[in-house]
Amino acid sequence: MILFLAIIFGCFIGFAVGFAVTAFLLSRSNDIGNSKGTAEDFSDTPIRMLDARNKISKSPF
Amino acid sequence: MIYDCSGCGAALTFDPDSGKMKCSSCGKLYESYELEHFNREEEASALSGNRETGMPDRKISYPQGRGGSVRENAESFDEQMECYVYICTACGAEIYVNDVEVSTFCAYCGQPNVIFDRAGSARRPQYVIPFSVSQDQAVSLIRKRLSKGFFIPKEIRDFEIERVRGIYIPFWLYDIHCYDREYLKGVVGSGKYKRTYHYYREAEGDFRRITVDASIRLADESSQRLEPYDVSGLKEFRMEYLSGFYADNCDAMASLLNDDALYRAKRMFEAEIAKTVKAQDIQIIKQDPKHEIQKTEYAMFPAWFLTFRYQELPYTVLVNGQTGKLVAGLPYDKKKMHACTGILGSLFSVGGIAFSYAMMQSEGGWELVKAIIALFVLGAFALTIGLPIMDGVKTSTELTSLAQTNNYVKDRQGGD
Repeated sequence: MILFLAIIFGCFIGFAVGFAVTAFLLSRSNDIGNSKGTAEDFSDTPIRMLDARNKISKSPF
Repeated sequence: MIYDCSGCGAALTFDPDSGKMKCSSCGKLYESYELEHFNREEEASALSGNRETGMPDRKISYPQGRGGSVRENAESFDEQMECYVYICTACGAEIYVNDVEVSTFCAYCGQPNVIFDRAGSARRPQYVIPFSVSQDQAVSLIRKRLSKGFFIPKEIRDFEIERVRGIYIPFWLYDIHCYDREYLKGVVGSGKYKRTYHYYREAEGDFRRITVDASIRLADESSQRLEPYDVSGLKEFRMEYLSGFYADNCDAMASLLNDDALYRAKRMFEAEIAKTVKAQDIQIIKQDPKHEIQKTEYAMFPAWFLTFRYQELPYTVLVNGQTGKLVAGLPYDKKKMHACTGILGSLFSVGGIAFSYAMMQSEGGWELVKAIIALFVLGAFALTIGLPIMDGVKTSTELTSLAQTNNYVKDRQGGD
């Protein structure tokens, strides 16, 4: 029983990982130039931080 | 306007390799200032030759998508589009130009014509990035890249070019000042140490020359993938840069695209703010954005469009005419894809079975259930990685075979 389940789940994981790796390789091979301009392309310093607070309990505005 | 060689009289076109005007016959190169002295400023005159105004005399209409097939009595107004008729100064043929084309070729003799009077003062671009990549280089880049793709079918690797067009795409460039204050939440840690925290950020910033495609006929997704253009290569607009290429004037005014530009700036600004929060699954709970367009400029950017056919469908590969960046989503060889999945799947399955068997070796029933759930989650996780990637490939392929992009290239004078 354990062996049977191990084969079922092992194959499920194996083929899922195999599919993910193939999809990654496929995108590298056939999906060319799939990117757009980012903030860095339109500004050297996209943001100037005026105020930054971490782990606060409620909204300040 | 046609620029002629002072030596042999043949037409001059802009040469991306030298950055100068080049005679198509004798190969002589000209600097821009030289053209001031001896170019023949002869407008492509209208049918009755109104040379004083430079405007075409006869404005006719033809059904959309019919190329040069002229019908003066089309059935309904909706089927018509405006076009202008010019006479080619080289061979005398009639050239039909649609509403937005500012530069074209004679369909009969191939003479490059720059339709000067269509780029009136209102729509005259302020800047242009000239072509740096020549047609041969663009084709070579595509062939080289396609030869590397393992999953690209052989028929595509050895593609026969249906048409290649160097086209100047109109863009609006926006300078946008951004300000936002945000109340965010994010997750830190994992498992039983997982915690959700709240953050506050207030920031401002400036984006310079955000590009928004000003052509309705070209899909925004396609033009955005051509980015980035190096705007340091912007030059003051001069008509000679258009010679030898196709060019469209904008058919979407800046005011219509303001929201698109602001939305793009907003998304980029939010992403930059999110980068400053050291957490995962960041969400904005509340925000107060104030983004403002400060300046708008109009420019033309170069791109090569190369079309080929595969299984009766046209595919259009785009090449950034300045940087050489390729944009294409190509169909894949299904046999190779299935074989690869099968081989990799089998290999990983061996490891997966051993791993699963080891996990299930516990004696308790509850431990076994936990192991099964963990294994299922692991497999599902792998699928959630693979499926969106496949979806992205499919979207790119659809974009490359989009009829809209193909027509953008096809509906031009001198077409095959």
